[in-house]
Amino acid sequence: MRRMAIGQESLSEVFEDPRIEEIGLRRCLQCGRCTGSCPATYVFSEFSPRTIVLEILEGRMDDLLKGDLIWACGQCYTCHLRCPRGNSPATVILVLRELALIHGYATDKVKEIAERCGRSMWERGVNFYEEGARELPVEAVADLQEALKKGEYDSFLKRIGADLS
Amino acid sequence: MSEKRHYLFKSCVLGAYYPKVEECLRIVFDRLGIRYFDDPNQSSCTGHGYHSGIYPFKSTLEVNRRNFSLARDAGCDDIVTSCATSYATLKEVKNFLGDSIEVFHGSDVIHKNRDQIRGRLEHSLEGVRLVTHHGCHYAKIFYKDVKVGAPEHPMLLDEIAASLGAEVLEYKERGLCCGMGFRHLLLDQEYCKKIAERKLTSMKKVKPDLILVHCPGCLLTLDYFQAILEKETGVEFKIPVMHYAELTAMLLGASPTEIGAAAHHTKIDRLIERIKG
Repeated sequence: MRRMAIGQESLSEVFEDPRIEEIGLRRCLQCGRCTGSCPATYVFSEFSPRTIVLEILEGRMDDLLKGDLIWACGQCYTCHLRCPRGNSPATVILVLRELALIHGYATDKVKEIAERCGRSMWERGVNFYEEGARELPVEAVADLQEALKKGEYDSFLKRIGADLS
Repeated sequence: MSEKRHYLFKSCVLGAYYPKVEECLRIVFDRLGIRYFDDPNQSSCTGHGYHSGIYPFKSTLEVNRRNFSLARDAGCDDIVTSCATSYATLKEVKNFLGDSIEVFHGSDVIHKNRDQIRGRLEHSLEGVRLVTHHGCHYAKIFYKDVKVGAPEHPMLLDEIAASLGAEVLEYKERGLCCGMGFRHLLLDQEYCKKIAERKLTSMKKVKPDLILVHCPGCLLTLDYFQAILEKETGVEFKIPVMHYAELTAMLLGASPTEIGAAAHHTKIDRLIERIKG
């Protein structure tokens, strides 16, 4: 069996994600327009969408998945709007965040919010819930849970260690 | 846009934090005779969680396949959202599923009906100076669908506000994110504060009476963080922030209680009193 460096498996998962097929990740010319346009770089000077794309194209996934940088993006999609090659660093980052959670690399704080929002969605059908706020009727929650299972959400929650019992 | 009734897609942020603002799109549609179906079984689109990176894509597809199916069962050919992130999330899912259902933002409907609204106004924005902020997830994701203005300079809210009688002001950081940042709002909020401060500082320079927003997340961020920033930096903002449906409902005669003015962190009462005379 071919030995894989840590992160190589995840690298193939990035390129197999259907969202990546829709964007110009491999066409990136490293012009830096994404980083120049990015509000998160104003707040976190070490963050650069251009560098994240470069790391992927050069096959270095490990530090990306284990580190904080992929969590710095604010998902405003200015990079997506302005990329001259139709790439979408914001979309790439979403794919990476999902992989970081699935492979157990995300921080406890991220797992906590995933569990909190996950519980609200699983039990009430809403991302956020405040006392007295709208939630789905019981029958609709049961129906929603079937849809969530089809989307493998129950196994996702188990993988991140969320306990919905 | 279908002539049949619209499937009204409710927002998780409004439902939790500004429940009366959630009702404002219904108030506007009721007053204009626009038909819609308000389905108690509709779930969140997961958009906030999805863009936080804590909600898998596959689950997002299935949750909204169910929502599309509910819309179709109700005889609706299109979905109208009050939120820019729901708008983009549903469009993304629709494209991946190859579904024919159409997705519109509530401001698209208000813009389309702005002449009718003008004819029914109980109050006008005459003399009110405002700035607009369009949701990034409206203008920047499906940017080819921006039909009023351009993706870098959307004019949808500007044209709505002008038709309601307001003077619309330009400002330097018009295209900047509000600062919500999805996972940032849920966790440490450093991004929220720095970006909201930059945005609000730019807005303040042109001395607006009101910030008109496009999205529940932008409403929450620009409303909630003003007092926090004032406490931390000593700089006062105190600029009322209103959601487009809330403002339109108020001008069509809805009372401050009906629009949920009390839920705002940055008070909007004085502005409402001024507008209502």
